Amino acid sequence: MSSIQNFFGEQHRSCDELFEKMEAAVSRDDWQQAGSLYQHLSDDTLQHFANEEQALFPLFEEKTGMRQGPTQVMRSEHAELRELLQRIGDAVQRHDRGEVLGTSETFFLFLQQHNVKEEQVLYPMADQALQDSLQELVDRVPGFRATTRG
Amino acid sequence: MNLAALSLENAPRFWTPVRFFLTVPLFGILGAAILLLDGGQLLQSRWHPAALAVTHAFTLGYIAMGMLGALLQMLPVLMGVTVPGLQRAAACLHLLLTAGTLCLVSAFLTDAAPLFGAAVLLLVPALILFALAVVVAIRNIGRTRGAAGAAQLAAFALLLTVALGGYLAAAYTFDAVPLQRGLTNYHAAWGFAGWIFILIIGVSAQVIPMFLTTPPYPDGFNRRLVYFLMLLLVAASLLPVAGAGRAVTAVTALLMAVYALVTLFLLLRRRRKRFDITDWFWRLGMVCLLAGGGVLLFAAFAANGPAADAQMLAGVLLLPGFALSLINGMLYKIVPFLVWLNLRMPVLKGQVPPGTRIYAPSIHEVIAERPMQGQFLLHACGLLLLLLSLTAPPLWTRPAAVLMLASNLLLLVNLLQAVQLYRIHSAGRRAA
Repeated sequence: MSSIQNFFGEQHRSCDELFEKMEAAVSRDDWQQAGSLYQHLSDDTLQHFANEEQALFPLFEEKTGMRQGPTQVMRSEHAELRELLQRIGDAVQRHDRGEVLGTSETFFLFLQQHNVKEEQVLYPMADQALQDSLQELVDRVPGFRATTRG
Repeated sequence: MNLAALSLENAPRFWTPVRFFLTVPLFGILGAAILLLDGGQLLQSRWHPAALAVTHAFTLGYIAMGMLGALLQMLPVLMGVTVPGLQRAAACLHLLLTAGTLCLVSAFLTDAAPLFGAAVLLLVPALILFALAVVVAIRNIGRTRGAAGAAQLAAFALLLTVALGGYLAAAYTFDAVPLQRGLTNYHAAWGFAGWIFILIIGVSAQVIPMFLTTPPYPDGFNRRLVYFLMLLLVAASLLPVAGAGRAVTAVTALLMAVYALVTLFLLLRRRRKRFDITDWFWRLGMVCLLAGGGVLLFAAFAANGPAADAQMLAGVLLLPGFALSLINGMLYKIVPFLVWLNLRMPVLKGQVPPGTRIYAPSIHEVIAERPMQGQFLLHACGLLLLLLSLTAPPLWTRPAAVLMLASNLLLLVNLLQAVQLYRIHSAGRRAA
């Protein structure tokens, strides 16, 4: 069973794609496109964080009894990522190419190492610990479906 | 699986991996300096003492130094392995590896038995303990697939490499121990195809698609490649059938070429088109791996066994060409990230009141692009001249050595500058 790995991992992939498109738009000074892609990226990323912080993590903490462990680290990394994302957004508004691309690099690298940790450690653990509580995730995470293969 | 593994408290401190990374160019400088002083004699034979000295400056001082530093960072953070007493153990390991490699290199250059003995004492227990710790730690997290599984097999190969190397060095030390030169081939095969290549295959499956935004490797490609290589190495070691060695070399060479081609294909399909120095180094490394595999394959079918110059050519392509390029590229990815991460650590750990502004430079500002590009050019040109000096009269050896020396000096300067940035900002913060 790897419903969590599949669903949340797929969200990483789709946010990466938006990020890459946004960055490419900024590189060619297409600010209108960049602005709309940024909005899309920001909405999806914040929704993904909310899915984790309000549904996945609390369930995980409840089932494993680990409240100060990995989920706490992931939350603090989310806070850092939100701040970087906000800085990119402000720079997109100002059409500040250097700032967008510079902060993007930091955002991207930090995001990737964050994603590796989730996909390599946290999601596999969650898939094990939440085997019997997937229905609760279905109720609380928009679009989440429990799959039996994987 | 270790639940505490993701804790930031367990993330290695800044200096734990960085002291390894700063030592890497120092051994690059040492290797280039030996080549410069020697002036090309050593390129005549892989058994030339100076050739063995340079080889070990590169394999232990550069490659293993970089790989151990990266493993110490990655095992806790990316693979969920926790190692008790990591900081202190890593500092000891670094000291022993540095001192042991220096002993071994000087032992080859001076043919002094006590130096070989000292090298064995410093290197063998430390590296075997490290390899065992990695094997056991990964076994304990119960995941043997993916990068962690490859790291475990690579550590096992390191174990055998070090044991064989230790035996060979003991034979240089004590007359009572017979020198069995035939073991050198096993030592080199487990060291390169086992330890270096398997770890790179396993780690690249995880890091190349993520950090260089390429499509993923074909499903199961890296895992099968790792198992197949392991099988070949075990078969070649346990079945001393005449001709088996040659067949195994040919198949291994083919696998190198296939892996290099697949990786190059992926790198050409990077989605982000932004300048990335790691991408440059990895492309160069993969071209060298492809060529090195080709030379080995060709040599394996040569009528009288591989010619000495083919072995030397393959050695230059695979060690300085492939492995050094990859490590060099990796350093430019990991060191700026560690500088940034550790400067932001107080915020991540929630040690500052919300709203406090903590300055950290952007990751791409930690090392400027121009000096990295310059260093890449020095490295690539040095490599090219070194290859030329194998085919042409050794006219090119000294210029090649000078370029390699300059490249490693610039790498050192670039890394020191990054570390200096960390020191300035973290010291300023403590003072505030």
